[in-house]
Amino acid sequence: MLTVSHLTKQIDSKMIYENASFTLPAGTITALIGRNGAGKTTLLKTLVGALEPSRGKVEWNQQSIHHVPSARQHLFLVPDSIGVYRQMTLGELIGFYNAFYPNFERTFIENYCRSLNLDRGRRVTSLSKGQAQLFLLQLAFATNAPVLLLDEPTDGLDRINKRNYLKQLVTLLAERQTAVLIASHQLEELDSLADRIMTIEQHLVKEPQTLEDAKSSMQKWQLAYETVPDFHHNDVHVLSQTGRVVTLIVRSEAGAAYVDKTNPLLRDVLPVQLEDYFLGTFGGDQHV
Amino acid sequence: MFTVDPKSSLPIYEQLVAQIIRAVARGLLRSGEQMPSVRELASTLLVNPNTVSRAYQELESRNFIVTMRGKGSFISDLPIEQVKQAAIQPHVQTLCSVADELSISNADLYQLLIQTREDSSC
Repeated sequence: MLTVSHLTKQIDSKMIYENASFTLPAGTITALIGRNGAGKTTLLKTLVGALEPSRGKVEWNQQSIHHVPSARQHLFLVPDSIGVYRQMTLGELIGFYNAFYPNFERTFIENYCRSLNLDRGRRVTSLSKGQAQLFLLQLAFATNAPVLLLDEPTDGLDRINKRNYLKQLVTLLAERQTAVLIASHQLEELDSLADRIMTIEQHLVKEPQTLEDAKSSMQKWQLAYETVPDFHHNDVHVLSQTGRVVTLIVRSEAGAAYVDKTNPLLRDVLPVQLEDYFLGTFGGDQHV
Repeated sequence: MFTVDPKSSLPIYEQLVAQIIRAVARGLLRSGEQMPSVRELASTLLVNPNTVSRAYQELESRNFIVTMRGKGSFISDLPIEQVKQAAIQPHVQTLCSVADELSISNADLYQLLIQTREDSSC
């Protein structure tokens, strides 16, 4: 299992992310969410050993990813852009990973290319975004790496490619019990996919919690008033107001008590979506 | 045959449990029939396989399905009346809580129920 302890990354004196401690259990999907620029991509790159941490460690069964290069064979990162592969052809990319991953299934990825008439001499940059993401996911399958890290995997894919992508991912998870970490802003998608949620709040990486626990840590209320009051509480985030009805998210007992004191005429409890959780967590955050 | 809605107030696994019970109650799934595998259903619905497993576990603990190791899950042989009741129960629950919210008496609710059924059956 992949174990991350107190992982911290500073660049010059700037804190990128701090104190990431978590494990990635087999057969589960963990979603990494946070604002743009929160440090998600840097965290993923440190996990696979592409960047050195400032403090802390990443281990696969007690072997350090950063000190034992062969430990990296257990991870595969699909980056958010194919920029790093710019100069390579599909064939070269397959050859490159075949040399690095000992259980690489070359026939598997070659059959995939053949089935889609993808010529191995094609440059990666000649593929559409959807084709490239699907190809890289197949490549990830082929490596047989037990830990798969995905950075914004479905960003910019059309509906059909997105469905194909998620279908393959779910199949991979069910058949191979892969541990998956997805950094994404596609909250609706993560709502039906993720087992656990991990947030980066003001550079601090929080411990993962189950999707259910995350959602039940907040409440979403629709309240009606004679006159809608102004809400000034850190744990109360107003989503919308229409006439005398206000919809808000409350994220603590103190916030709930504060709202109780405003004496609403009516209160409806609405289901908390992952999007609400995101707004409740980051909505009051002025840092962009 | 099944659909999930992440916007619903019910967790996805509970939605699946309710829909599978309803499918049995309507005869779309019959006793002895094999359920799709976890992988199959998860990849059709694009949900986490663990969510489907959890729904199957719940159905098994309520005796709606039987899982045989290495063979898969099968619809149990239960009296149809029992399945129908289980299928309508959550809806009755919702109806009752709305009636509570609006302070509608049992007599009025009952009246409304009878009236609605008579109006809808031609």
